[in-house]
Amino acid sequence: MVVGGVMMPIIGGIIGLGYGRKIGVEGSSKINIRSMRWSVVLISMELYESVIEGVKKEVKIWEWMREGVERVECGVISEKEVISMMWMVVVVGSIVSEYSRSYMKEEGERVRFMSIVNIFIGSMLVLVGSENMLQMYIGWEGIGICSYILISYWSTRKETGKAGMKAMVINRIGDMGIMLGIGKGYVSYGSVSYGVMKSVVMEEDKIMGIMIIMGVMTKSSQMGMQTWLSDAMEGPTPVSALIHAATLVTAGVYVVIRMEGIIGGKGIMIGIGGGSIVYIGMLGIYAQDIKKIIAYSTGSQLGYMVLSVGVGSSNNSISHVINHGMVKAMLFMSAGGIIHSRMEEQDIRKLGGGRMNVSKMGVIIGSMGIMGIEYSSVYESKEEIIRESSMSRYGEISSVMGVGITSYYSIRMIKRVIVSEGKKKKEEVEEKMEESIMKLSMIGVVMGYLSKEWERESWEMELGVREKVVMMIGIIMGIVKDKIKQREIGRIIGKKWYNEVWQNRWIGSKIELMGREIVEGIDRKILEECGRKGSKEIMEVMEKGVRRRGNVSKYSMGMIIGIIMWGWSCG
Amino acid sequence: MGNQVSMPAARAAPFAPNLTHKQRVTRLYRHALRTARDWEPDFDLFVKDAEKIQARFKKNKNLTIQEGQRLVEAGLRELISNRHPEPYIPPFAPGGTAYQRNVPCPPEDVNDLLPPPERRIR
Repeated sequence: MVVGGVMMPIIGGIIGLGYGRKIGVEGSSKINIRSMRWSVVLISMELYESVIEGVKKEVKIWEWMREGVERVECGVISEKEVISMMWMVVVVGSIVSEYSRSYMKEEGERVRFMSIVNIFIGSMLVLVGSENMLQMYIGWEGIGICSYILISYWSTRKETGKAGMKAMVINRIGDMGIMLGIGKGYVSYGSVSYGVMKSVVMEEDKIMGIMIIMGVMTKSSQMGMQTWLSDAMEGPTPVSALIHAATLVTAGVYVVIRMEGIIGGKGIMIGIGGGSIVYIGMLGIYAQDIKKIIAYSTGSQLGYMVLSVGVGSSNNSISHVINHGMVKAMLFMSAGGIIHSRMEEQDIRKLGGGRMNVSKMGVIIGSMGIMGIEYSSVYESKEEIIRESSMSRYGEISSVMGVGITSYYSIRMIKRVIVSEGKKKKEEVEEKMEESIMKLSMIGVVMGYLSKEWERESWEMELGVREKVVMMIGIIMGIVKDKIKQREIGRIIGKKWYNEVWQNRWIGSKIELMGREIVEGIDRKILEECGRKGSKEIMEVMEKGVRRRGNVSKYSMGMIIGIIMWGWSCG
Repeated sequence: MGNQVSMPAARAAPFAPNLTHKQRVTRLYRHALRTARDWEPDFDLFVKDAEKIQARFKKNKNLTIQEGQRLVEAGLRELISNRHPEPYIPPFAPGGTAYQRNVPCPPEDVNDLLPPPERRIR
């Protein structure tokens, strides 16, 4: 059942990519959406077994490799936390797929878009359900590549290409950290399996922790590595709702939660998480693009999740991952509805006016939840994290400051988009889009009510007085003074903490110089001119010969068959 | 001055080289109003800022060219110091969020776009 739930999106995506031209855009969209719905059904059945009945199991599909007694087997595990996370991914993925069918109705290349979304969801499920770090890494790379393709969807626009490349390059730094962490884990514990590592661990490995935290910093866009997330808003809104709110950005946090007890570096996580809450939250003060405000809000909330893991409260962190993912996806979809109805206008200075509709209601509900108003699921998990973070003074101060900052930019956004007057424009949001927004908002509110009913001992447990005062200050500032001039708070926040400036100056320009020297010195001079005729001339002669005969497709097929046979013989 | 400051192309007009004095003044005025509009989304409050800017320009209407050029230079420096970190650009304008999203493909034979041989510049 759980294997079916993981494979359905991938199968739907592959059919869409492979046969999209034959079955048409509508046909492949239906296949993609139905495969997601089946995945929701299967994972929901598995959720009942694992959460309600407490069943734990591991389904092994095939043995990937063997080194002595150590075997790496690909499969899916079924535990409470794993299946809960999978359920969130497939529910959000399914609703976003239906939403994007309407949102992307007038765009080209829809087959490719919907199929890559499915493959992305499949990769995320592979990451979440893995029992070992190698399979987790397959999913990790899969979501990275799909994210690049989806961010750069509008490939004729220069900025989307740059944004996709930026996301890829910054995430490569984290990918390198994860790879090193896998190697270190094997050296330290003799295995890459989570279960084996947890059973043999004597002391948490700090160095491995630092390497894995590099992956968290980039994937979950923590302080210093957050520049790619705001630029990733170049992609279509369904991409932002699925990838940059609920799934890809939470992958780093999820991996750290799975490795609790194995890796050290909790102090670093508290530092990074607490710092990110304020560092990234402050960027929302100046942002004028509605999607960038929500993106900065996501980065700030991810800081809460990392902080929670650092103080040893992984249950609250996973709870916040799930609750926040749903509400933030709904917030992005609502913003997308507003953008779509206002002819692609994204600047909050121009979004005022017009009547209340489902999208605007979604923005209000989502923002209230993120701020910490009761009866939202996000409020419940955030409030627990704030309470647990009191174990660390630094964590406590940053989490409380985060409440005020979140309130400020959320109220500012609501004021500009919904309350303020503007030119009366005819706004029409597609019915299907409104349905998707309503579904997710209902799930978010119901989950919040249920978690308050089931998990709380007392109805009086709520945000402390201090947090409520800070929230009210943020709300009042957002209403009264929603324009902070550069002089008053300094250029530094307006320039996004000069992140891109120092990254380009100290890292980017040096790597570019090194790359240029390699191309000019080694590639063009040595490698091309080596040999009697030079490898360049040899390749040109070969290419002419192949092209003349017109057998390129046969040679490519031969190459693929050869690789498969070689892989078979090695296995 | 213009080459040393990074800004979106939509806001670079006052800093273009080889402008007449009249062009520099009119562009400075227009961009001062746009910068004020970036900071003040409420139209009623923006009108007050716009009136102040207009009064400042009108006060200096009858100066000599040299004095005017000196004031324009000072005005450009003030414009840079007051610019918004995210100036408003319409979505489909160059630099906007929806610019060049779905550019149509060029025709199959690009030579059809060229002028006839006798009119081509060599």
